[in-house]
Amino acid sequence: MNEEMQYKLQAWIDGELNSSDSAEVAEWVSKNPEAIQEAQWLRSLRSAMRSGESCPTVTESRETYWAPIERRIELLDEEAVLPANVSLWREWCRQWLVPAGGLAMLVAAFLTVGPDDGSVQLPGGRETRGSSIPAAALPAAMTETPSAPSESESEPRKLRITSVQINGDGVPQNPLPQDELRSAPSIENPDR
Amino acid sequence: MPPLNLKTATDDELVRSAQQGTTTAYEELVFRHRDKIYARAFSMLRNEDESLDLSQEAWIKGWQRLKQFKRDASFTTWMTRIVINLCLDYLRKKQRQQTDSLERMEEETGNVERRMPVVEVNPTARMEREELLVEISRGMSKLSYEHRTVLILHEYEGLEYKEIAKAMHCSIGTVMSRLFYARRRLASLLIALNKSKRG
Repeated sequence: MNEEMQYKLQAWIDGELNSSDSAEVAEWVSKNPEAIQEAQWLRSLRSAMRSGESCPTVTESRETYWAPIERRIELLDEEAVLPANVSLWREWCRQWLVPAGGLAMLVAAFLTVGPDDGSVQLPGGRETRGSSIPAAALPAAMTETPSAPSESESEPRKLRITSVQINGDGVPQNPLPQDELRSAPSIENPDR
Repeated sequence: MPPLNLKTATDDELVRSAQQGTTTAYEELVFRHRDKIYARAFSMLRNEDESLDLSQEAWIKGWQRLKQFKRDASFTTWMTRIVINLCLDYLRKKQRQQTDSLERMEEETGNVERRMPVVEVNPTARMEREELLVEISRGMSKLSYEHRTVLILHEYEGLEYKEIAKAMHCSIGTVMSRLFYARRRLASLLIALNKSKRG
């Protein structure tokens, strides 16, 4: 009996064949003594196995067996609560901190590239006038020298602005001389 | 709603209660069915400590997934599937750590099946039922985990070939081959045992 027929015979005994294949195998078995013998031992083993199973039992007491399960379940339940709190915090951050941070960045950007009339433009078109902006409050980019390929690396040029006094009309009180202003590197375009 | 009497409650009532987070109801379910879950783990792993650990792991997983249990099968059937899957994952990992034996390689190519002697006598003849069950269990422990598992899933769990193939991540052809080899090997072991006992 070849392998294919052995598998077919087994599938027939296991009830895995469709009706036409099943009928075909049944007819073949009835005419083949080797197949009959094969079918017999397969059936007897199958029936022996299905009659029951030798089952070992847990030797631990109820408490001993349950204790580690209970511990893990409690931990899982705690972990299930924890992410909920974390997500609330994340939601709060998204709702308030992210817009506030964005606003702060916008203000910083306006301070950096704001109009040259000495006024500081805030989002929404508002202007602050006559205010004094200490150098420490300015973004680092305003007090540091931008790298310019044409300039010497050993002697970086520094802006002389330490603070700008702006009067109520938006005119700086301690303006730099015009020629220095022209030669000063632009924040937007360091090559200027 | 009156409090549930854990001792007299049905499995279904305990499951409903556990699904609402009552651990005492779940503990009662564990107590009722721990032997069955442990036995299935043992039948697959053949090691007491590993079976104990994995059966407990199955109960933990059962708790985690309890809300997904839809009652389309009995609770024990559902739990048995969980422990079987855990055992299969465990055995696969364990197998990856071991070098493939010559027998395993031959088995995949069908050589072992071809070399197996033809079973000419009834392997279960003249054996008392209890003795037979013990010997079958002993014989099963001599099979590779793939052969043992395919027999367990088919004969004890009543799974069809395609369901076994899905659980074991293999083709139906491989299931048929493994099942045939496992049966033939088990039959040979039983016959040999029968012969040695009867002289």
